[in-house]
Amino acid sequence: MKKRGLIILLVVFVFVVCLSQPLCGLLEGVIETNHENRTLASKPDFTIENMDTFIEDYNRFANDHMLLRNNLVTLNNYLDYYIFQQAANTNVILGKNNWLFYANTNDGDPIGSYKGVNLYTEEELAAIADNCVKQKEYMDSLGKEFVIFIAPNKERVYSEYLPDMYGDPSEQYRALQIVNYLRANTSVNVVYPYEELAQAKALLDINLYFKTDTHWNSVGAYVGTRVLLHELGIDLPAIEQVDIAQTGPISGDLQGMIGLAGFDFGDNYYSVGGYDTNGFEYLEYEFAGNIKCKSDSDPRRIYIIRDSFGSAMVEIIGSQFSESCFRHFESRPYSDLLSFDPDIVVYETVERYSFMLGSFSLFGGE
Amino acid sequence: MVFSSSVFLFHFLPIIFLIAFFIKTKYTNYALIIGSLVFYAWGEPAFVLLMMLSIVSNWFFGIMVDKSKRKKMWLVTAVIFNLLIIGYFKYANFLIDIFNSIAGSQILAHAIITLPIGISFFTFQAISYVVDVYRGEVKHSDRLANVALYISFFPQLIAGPILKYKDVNSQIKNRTVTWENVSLGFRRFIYGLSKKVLIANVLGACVDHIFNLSIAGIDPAMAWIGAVAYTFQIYYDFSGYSDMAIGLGKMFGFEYPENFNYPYLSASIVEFWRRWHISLGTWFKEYVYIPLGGNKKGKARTYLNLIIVFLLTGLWHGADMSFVIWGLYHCFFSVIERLGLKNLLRRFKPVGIIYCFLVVLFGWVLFRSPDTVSAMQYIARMVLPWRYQSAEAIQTYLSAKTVFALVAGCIGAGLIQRIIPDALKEKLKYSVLESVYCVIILILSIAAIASNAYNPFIYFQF
Repeated sequence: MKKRGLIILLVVFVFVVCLSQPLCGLLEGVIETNHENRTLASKPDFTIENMDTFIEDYNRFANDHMLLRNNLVTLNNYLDYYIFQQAANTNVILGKNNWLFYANTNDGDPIGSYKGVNLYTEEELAAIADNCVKQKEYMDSLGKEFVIFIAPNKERVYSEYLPDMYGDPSEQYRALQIVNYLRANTSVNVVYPYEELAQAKALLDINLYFKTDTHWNSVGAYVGTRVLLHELGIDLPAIEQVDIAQTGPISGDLQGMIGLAGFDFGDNYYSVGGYDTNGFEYLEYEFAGNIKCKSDSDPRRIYIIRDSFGSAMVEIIGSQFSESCFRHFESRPYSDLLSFDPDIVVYETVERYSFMLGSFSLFGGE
Repeated sequence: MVFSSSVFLFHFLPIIFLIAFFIKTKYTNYALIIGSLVFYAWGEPAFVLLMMLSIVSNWFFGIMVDKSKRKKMWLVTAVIFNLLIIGYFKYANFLIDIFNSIAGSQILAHAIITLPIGISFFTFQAISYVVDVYRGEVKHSDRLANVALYISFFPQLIAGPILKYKDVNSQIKNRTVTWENVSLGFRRFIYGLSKKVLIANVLGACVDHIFNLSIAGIDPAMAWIGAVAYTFQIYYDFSGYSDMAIGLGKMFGFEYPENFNYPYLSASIVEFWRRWHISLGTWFKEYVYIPLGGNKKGKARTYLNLIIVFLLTGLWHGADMSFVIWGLYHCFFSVIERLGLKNLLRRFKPVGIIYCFLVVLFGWVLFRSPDTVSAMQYIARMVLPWRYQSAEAIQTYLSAKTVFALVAGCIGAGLIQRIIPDALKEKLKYSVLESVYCVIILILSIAAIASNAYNPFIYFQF
């Protein structure tokens, strides 16, 4: 061996290629932590039963158990973000000033909605309205008040942080089509607090949505929930009259999707206080199932079918009703709706999932 | 199993390397054969039987061609046998399409056939073995293991280079593995891996975005960017694979021939085919062009031979008329160069390089497009830009990373190698600085593999 460079490469080959797998086995659990929102693949045994899937399973195992995998993924994503200004995940758009946006066309297509390129036809709107009316009539027959609440997409509220190539938000878009159609053609009560959020945004120098997450923060949730509660006859103080405090940094779901969880993107949690919480108390908390709470306020009971946007509304709504039940929309059937016996039923959905208004059902057991 | 996967890099390669390095020399070939069959079975478990059939049959044909009195009959049998295998798996549906279009109706239905990976490569190696034995250029192998390793050895198994038995025969029987060769081979492997992962895959994302759009959604700028990006993607993908194969071969004691020699610096199409996929060009020259008479039987016959070779070259790349047209397209330029254009190109080399690059680039559009009509529509957008409106913001398909890969790809395709003085090149070769550079690009490649599932090699379809 004449050249020192070749010796270095030989050492690298032995350590990086030949020894990395045994080292990974030895150090697993010591230096590697699972940062992903899934269970990593385990090593498959070769049996007659798994002959067909063994190779695929083993490939998954090999991918999931590379030595320093988390560090390598972070290195790659860090370079993509900071050097090339590119998201490692094509479902995430890098906006201005570290704002991140969701762009999954197969998950509600928020950018399609922003551009207004996926508008409903009259027939589709009529079908959605038919379903909403059917649910309302069912609730009417049970003597319950029924409201539909649509939380606006982040892309529309903070459009100025989207890259310029996306242009201005379209004036006509899916959620607005639904809202206008329901208001013009049915007696279904629908709340869509876009205007109120836009006004609050102009008033405050605090964000209403997380920069690095798909969701609104406590401030945005307060503004939106206040509009809903007003519709239900409860008035909360205006956003400029409550106490807002920054409670710590956040690394949101979009930041996780581009593999840079934990990096400082200047995004923060806030708490909202200064309104009457009426002795609010949690009774049960299961994020993907039921969240139940009680308070010493309005004697009415409220049942809310909600998505992830609804979780930031829990303490605000829960503090204004004697008992509240927030059921995640995916935990069907909503069999406890009748046994809970609410006075009010709210179907809450974020704008990008508003197409579900055409198919959701409050009928028990469906 | 692909080279740029974690299962190959951190499971298969270390195991096969350590076994081959530490067991007794007389067992090394057996270990490599078993390893190669596992490597092949990892992607195509059932087709490993087809490969074993090919190995045993061609070993038998080799013996018969060498020992039998009816050598020619055995040679013809062997060639027909190999062509039937590749014909059935690769061209059956193509022939059915041709038959149906001649008949004017769908008389025959398509057969449900899965194409075995690398069949075009290992079948051509098998044919060259039997032909070389027939020609007396090499003696048949008594040992089945030698033919098995020649056909199935994993570095070159699924994407070449296409070897000839006479070139590796002595290495199969006797070779030396040194730590120096292991290091040199690993160095070459790193260069190939980074070409594939850091350049070809990045360009591939841009190319896929553009070529997957409906033709109406492609504007002139997009069409040019897609064509240029694909031109470099296919080069870095394929030459990267060849680099990895050559490097792996060296790590196990084999010296493989070079498969690329900066083809985009060629000043003519004739020169391009001497620099691009050299092992395929050589194979067609030795086993088709020269047996047909080459250029020794007059001009007309030479051109006919060229047409046949380019037609087969196109067909080798894929069972579709667009590949045939791509082959004949190259043939057209090759013929007009022989008719006199080459004299003109020789006088103005920069013009020749630009001419050749553009001819190849438009050829790649034919190659990459789903069909010839789409390719023509695509090319129309490139050459008649004033007739088409711009469709999409350039940032949606051309990221900074793609631009970086494109610039790096352009510089690395021969320009920088030409600019750097030989003395400096010699100084940097095998230096600490070069090895640090190799380690950095290795880490970046592994990081990209760890976080990116976009991995298929373009050339696996052949």
